[in-house]
Formats: sequence, C-alpha cells, structure tokens
Amino acid sequence: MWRRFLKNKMAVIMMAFLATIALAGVFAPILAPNDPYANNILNKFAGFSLQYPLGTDQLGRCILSRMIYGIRPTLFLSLLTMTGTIGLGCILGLLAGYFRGPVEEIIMRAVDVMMSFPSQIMVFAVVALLGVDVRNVILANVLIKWAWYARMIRTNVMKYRDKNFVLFSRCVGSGEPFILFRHLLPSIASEMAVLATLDIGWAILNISTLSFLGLGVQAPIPEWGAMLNEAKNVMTTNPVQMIAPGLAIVIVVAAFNLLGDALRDALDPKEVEV
Amino acid sequence: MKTYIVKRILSAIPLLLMISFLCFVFINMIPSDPAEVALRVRQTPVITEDAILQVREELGLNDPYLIRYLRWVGNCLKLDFGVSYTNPSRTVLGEISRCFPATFILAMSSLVFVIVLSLPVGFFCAVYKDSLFDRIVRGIVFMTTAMPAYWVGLLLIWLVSIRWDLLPTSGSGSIKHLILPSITVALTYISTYIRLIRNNMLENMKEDYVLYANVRGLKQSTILVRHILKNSLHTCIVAIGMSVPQLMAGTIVVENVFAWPGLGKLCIASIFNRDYPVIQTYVLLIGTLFVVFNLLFDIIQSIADPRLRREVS
Amino acid sequence: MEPVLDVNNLVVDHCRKKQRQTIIKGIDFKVFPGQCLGILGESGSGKSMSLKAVMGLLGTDFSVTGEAFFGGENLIGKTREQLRQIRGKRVAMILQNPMTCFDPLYRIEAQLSETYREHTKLTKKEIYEKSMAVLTAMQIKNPEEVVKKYPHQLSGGMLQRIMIGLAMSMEPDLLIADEPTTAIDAITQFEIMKEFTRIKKESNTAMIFISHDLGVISAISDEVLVLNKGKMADQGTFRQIYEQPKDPYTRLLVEKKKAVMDQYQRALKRKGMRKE
Repeated sequence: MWRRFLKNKMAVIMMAFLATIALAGVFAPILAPNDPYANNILNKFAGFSLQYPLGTDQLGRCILSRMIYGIRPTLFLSLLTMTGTIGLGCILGLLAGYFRGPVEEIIMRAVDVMMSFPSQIMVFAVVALLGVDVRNVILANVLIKWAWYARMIRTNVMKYRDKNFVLFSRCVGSGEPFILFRHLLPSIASEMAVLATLDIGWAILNISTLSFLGLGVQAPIPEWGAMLNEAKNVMTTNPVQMIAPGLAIVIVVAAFNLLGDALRDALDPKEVEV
Repeated sequence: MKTYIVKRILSAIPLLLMISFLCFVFINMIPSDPAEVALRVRQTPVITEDAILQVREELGLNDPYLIRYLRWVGNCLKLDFGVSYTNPSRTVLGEISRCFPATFILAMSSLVFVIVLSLPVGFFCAVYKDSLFDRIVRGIVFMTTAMPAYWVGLLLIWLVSIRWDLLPTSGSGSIKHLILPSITVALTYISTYIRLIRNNMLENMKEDYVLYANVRGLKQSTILVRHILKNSLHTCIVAIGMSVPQLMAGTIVVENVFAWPGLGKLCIASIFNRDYPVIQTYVLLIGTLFVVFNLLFDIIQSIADPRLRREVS
Repeated sequence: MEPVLDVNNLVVDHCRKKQRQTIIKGIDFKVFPGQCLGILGESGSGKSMSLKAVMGLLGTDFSVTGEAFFGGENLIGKTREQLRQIRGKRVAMILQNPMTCFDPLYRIEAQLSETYREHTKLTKKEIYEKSMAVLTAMQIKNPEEVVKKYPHQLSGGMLQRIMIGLAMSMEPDLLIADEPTTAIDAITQFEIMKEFTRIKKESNTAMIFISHDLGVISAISDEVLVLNKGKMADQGTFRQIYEQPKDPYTRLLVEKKKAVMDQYQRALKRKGMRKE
C-alpha cells in the first residue's frame, strides 16, 4: 500500500505540505515573529513591516504570529475530532459486525438516522445542549460523523465474519480477534485513510464555523475562525485581517481534500497498473 | 404502486418518531429545571422549594418518561411548542413562524441560483469532458468545497457592498438585499450538484441505449438532451428534492453574516440565550422537513420512472 | 456485381495514456447485395469492433485506417455528421442486448418515431401507420398495444423483432446484425433466425451477421469470415470452413462443434435404442 501511495506525486506533495504546516504549528514559538497575545492598542491596523509582516489587528496584535499560532488549535482540534470519530465508529462498527441480531439492528438504524440528518443542525443542537465550549464542539462533531466509519467497518467485518466462521466456532477467545485484525486491517486501512483525510477538512471547516459564530474556540485564542469573527467588524479598515485567515483555511482544507482524492486514486484497487 | 407508497410512508414514521424522541431527550437533558422556568414565566416574585414542587405536580413532571413523551408529542401535533424561555410573552410557534418566511425566501432564491448554474454547467462539463472548460470548472468546484461559507459571504460583502458599493451589506427588505446572501448559500451547494449532474451524465453516456441511438443515426444534440440528460435527471430527482431542506438548514451561518432575519439567526440567538424550547423546535422542524421531503421525492421518483411504476395491464 | 461494402486492410488502434495497442490488424471482406456474410469469432476477436469502426461508432481514443467503400465512397475518413446521416438509413444495425438498447423512459412509439423523424419527412399519422406496418410484418400481435408500452414491459425476443423491423423499414442497403441471438433463449432464437431468413429472401439487402455460434452462422450465411484476435483466420462458404478449415483456430472451433454434435447424435441413438 505504501508503495502505491508514494508513486502518486500529488499525494506525496500534499503530505509534505501538510507536514510542513503541522511542524510550523508545533514550532510556532520559534517561527512566529511576535507574541500572538501581546496587544498594543496604539499600534492597531499597522501596515506590513518587517516587525509585523502581515500588519496588526484591531488590538495591535501581530496577524502573522496569530496565524502561525492558529495552526495549533485548528489542526489539533480537528485531529482530536477525527480520532474520536474513528474510535467511536470503529467500536460501534465492530460491535455491529460481530454480533448479529438486535445489537446490529439498533446500531445500523442509528447509523441511518445519523446519515440522513443534516450534520450542521446536529452540531448546533449538541453545542446548544451542552453549552458553549471547545470540548462540546469536538463531541458534537464526533457524534455526527461516527456513522460513516461504523458503516464502513461493519461492511468489512461482515465480509470476514463468514470467512472466519469456522475459526469462530473453534477458537473463541484470543485466537480470532488477532486473525480478524490481521485480515481486516489492510482492507480497511485504505478506505479509512481516504475517509479520514476528507473528514479532517470537514472538521476544520466545521470547527472554524462554530468559532466564527462564537460557539467554539473563544477569543483571545488565535483560531482562524475566531479571528475571522473579530475581523468582520473591521472589514473596511483592515481587510487583510479578514483575507489572511480565510485564505489559510481554504489552503489547508484544499490540501487535505487533494490528499484525500490522491489517496483514493492511489489506493483504489481498480486503478492498479499492470 | 400504491403498496409501495404506503410502505414508504409507514417506514418514515419510525424515523419521525426517533427524531422526535431525540428532541425530547434533548430537552430533558438541559440543566435548567422546567418547573423553575415555568415559575419565572409566571413572574412569581419569590421562588420557593414548595412552589417548585407544586409546579412540578401541575406540569406533570413527575410522571414517567414515556407518558411525558407522549404528552409532548400530542402537544406538538397540536402545534403547541411551549413558550420561549427568554421572552415568556412569546410562544415558540410564534417565534418560528415569524422567522420562517425569511429563511424560506432565502432558501428558494438560493435554489434558483443552484439550479440555473449547476444544471447547464454540469451538462457541458460532461459533454466536453476533460476540455479546458471542464477542467477549469472542476478546479473552481474543488476550491469552493474548501471555502467556508461565512468567509465567502464576508468577501462578497467586502467586494460588492463596500468597495464597489453595488448592493447593501446586510439586513433585508428588498431584492437587492437578497442577492448576496443567496449567492453565498448557493455557492456552497453548487459544487455538489455540478458534480452530481456531471457524473450522472458520464455514467449514462456509457449505456447501451446511447449506442443504439447512435446506430439509428440520431443527432448528437437529440441524444444528449432527450435521452442522456433526461435519464440523468431521473436518477438525481431525490438529490435535487433534498436540496430544499438542505438549503433551509444551510442558511444558518449566512443569515448570521448578513443579518438576515430568519430561522438561522433565531437559532443562533437561542443558543446563546439558552432558549431551549426554540432550539428543540427548530431541530424538530428541520428533521421533519428532511424526512418528509425524502419521502415525497422517493415517491415522485418511483412515479416518474416507468420501470418502477407497476401498471396493471 | 458491385459489392455493397468493400473493406480493405482495416486497422484499428487503441490509444490510451500514450500506450498504443492494435486491435484489428488488417482485415478485408466484401458483401454483395442479397447475400449474407457471416463473421465468426470468439469474444475479443474484434468482430463487433471492426464493424463499429467502419460505421464510426468507436470513441475518440480509437484510430481507424484502411478503406471501406460503401456506395462508391470511403467511409473511413468521412466526418461524424456524414456518417451519422448514413447510419440508420442506408446502413442499419441490430445490437446484442435489445433489453438495454431502448431508452427505458420512453415508449416504443416515441423511439420509433424519433428515428423516422430524423431520416424521413413523414407526417405524424404516416409515422404511426408505418410503425404499425413494421410491427405487423415482424409477426407482432396487437401492435397498437405494443407500441404504447415501455421497453421493460416487453420481452427480449419482442424487442429484438422491433429492432429488426425498424432497421428493415428504413430499406437500408446493408443490414448489420451484431450477435442478435446471443442474449435470447433458444426457442426465441429459432424464431428470430426464421425472420432473418425471410428478410434475406424477400429483400435485396446485403447482410452481415456477426456471431460466435457456428449453428446460427450456418443457418444464414453465404460466405463466412473467421476472425481470431483481430486477424482473418479463414474465409469461404460455410461448407468449406466446416469441412476443410485452413487455419488452426478455425479447425479448433469446428472440431469442438463437431465433438458436441457427435455427442448429441450418440445420445439420441442411445435413447432410440432404449426405446426399442
């Protein structure tokens, strides 16, 4: 699988690009020219300079530094969301696949309901219920998207359920989970990788939307969506403030989408070149 | 045919029940005590423990879960959704019906934009597959899927309203106010529908009846429109129908950006004000819309497709 | 006699992602009016593709070279529009899967009339009458009802008849039948072959009959061309092919068929002996 992945130039480029961004976020204190929280009202809406490459915002904070520091919440939160979603989806998918009967029925009905419901509304509803907090945003996202993974995993488990049926009846216990794992993993891995990359993009957009509305990450934390919330009030005086974070979101999400598409092409068994 | 319709309607009912149940569970999980809220609504000056217990009895809050659920469903069917927590003089129904028309208008005009743009563009992308036009469109479509809706709205406001001073920045009241929000909402969905139509048409182009039509010597334009497009649209009837509730739900953020006085703005305000009945009713409304439209268009699709229509000859 | 279709050195290449593959490697054949040329071969031998190439039905990633003289003009090299006008009117084609060849969303009469509207200047009434005549000529009962039906409501055999009827009603110079009996059950196959034989007798249309079934080819062809992997393996009358196959591939085909027939004869004889 890795070989096919590496052959696809686009996938490799995107991975490298995203890894660079992630590293920039990790090493933000070193890279950022200024402290993202340091405000200096006297210096608000400054133009581009060596000290402040992208100028300053309405509180005199360096925009570029805030952008670089903003990588952290953006990527970290979406990765956390993804892990939670995949985790929950895997568990429920495995349960639905292993045990036939009522357990499977209930879980799959829940999957159907979740998949037919508009995800945006559900996220708002959950945030409304649990209160305005970052953790709730992640929880909300996880509660929406698990269904897709659960369905995919269940389909794959069902394929192997029949194959290993004989093994089931013989070595109940330590034997077959291990075998299942070894067989399942390769077929799931590629589908999962595609879903996950596309999902990160979705999660980033969602988290930034909620932050923009004031329902997610709160000021003064430099998250790109929250920055746009502040920027909308000063659109006329300092358009850079509005353009920069938005552009950043577009570029990162586009990179994830390109990666996902490239992965899908690279790992699609039908596309294997003889 | 009729059996199919009946079966389909019956299968929608458990879905509606589940949605309503989820909404009911939702309202019962909120931290504030409905009895307290009721006392506040009645403007009781001093709220004592006894008063709370008394009100609990009155409202039947000590009854078992299921009975309360059924009572709530009964109320909903009578369109009695309770009173707003933040503004007790207003009913939830009143609030929602006040804001509904604005969202509906926005959704409808966005729908017009979506159809007018995605249908021809998707059509020509399929016809001229891999041409410059196709590749440019696919590039644009790709970029729009990565753009947050609210950012697009902000950019449009900045460019069109502020710099070029062509249209008003926010609020509602005239067609001019409608244009920018509709475009913003539409942009988020256009990409989906362009892809849908393009892929459907490409799939249909490989079908045998297209080959036979060519064999018979029919004109390319006839084949494309009369046969391929018609078949493609048939497969996407449900998807196109579902765009209405999707757009209704999708206006939340845009309404916020453009200060459009619709359901979305109401919902966000309610979240901040912890006005739970309004939120709950909104979720219920959207959920029901989804189920109903899905049902409706499933049935329409089965009627439109002669293969699914089982005529009694 | 002038041949209706005269194909010389037909070569078809497939170009995809800079890889060029030759599929049809230079074949020649002629068809004369009132005669039937059978093209025999397995799937992948290129029998359908060679005719589709001549008619301009292959996609843009195929390149066709050679000569295919029809009515004095070379079809290869004509524009798409010119070929389109010839298709359906002067050269009619019948395809393999009648069940999927008709648009499922339109009634039969709509699909018949659109063909007529394209190639003729008949009025609505005349088109209806012509459709009725066509269906009746193909032994279809209750044509007024059949014509109002959707394709999924009719059987494969009936759809095939409609296809044949539509093709012949345009009075083409050449009729190409691409495996018309392959997707149909044996009994209906027999009926369809009867129709073909009747058409051959009654009209002067040249016919090309493509199939992988020796039995079907034997029933109708005057000349037979055997194709194998895009090349000509054998040519001659059916008798010649059957009794003196020159190419090893043809020999294999014939031997297999003979073996099946012998087994069948033996089984019959055994049954006959048991009866006695």
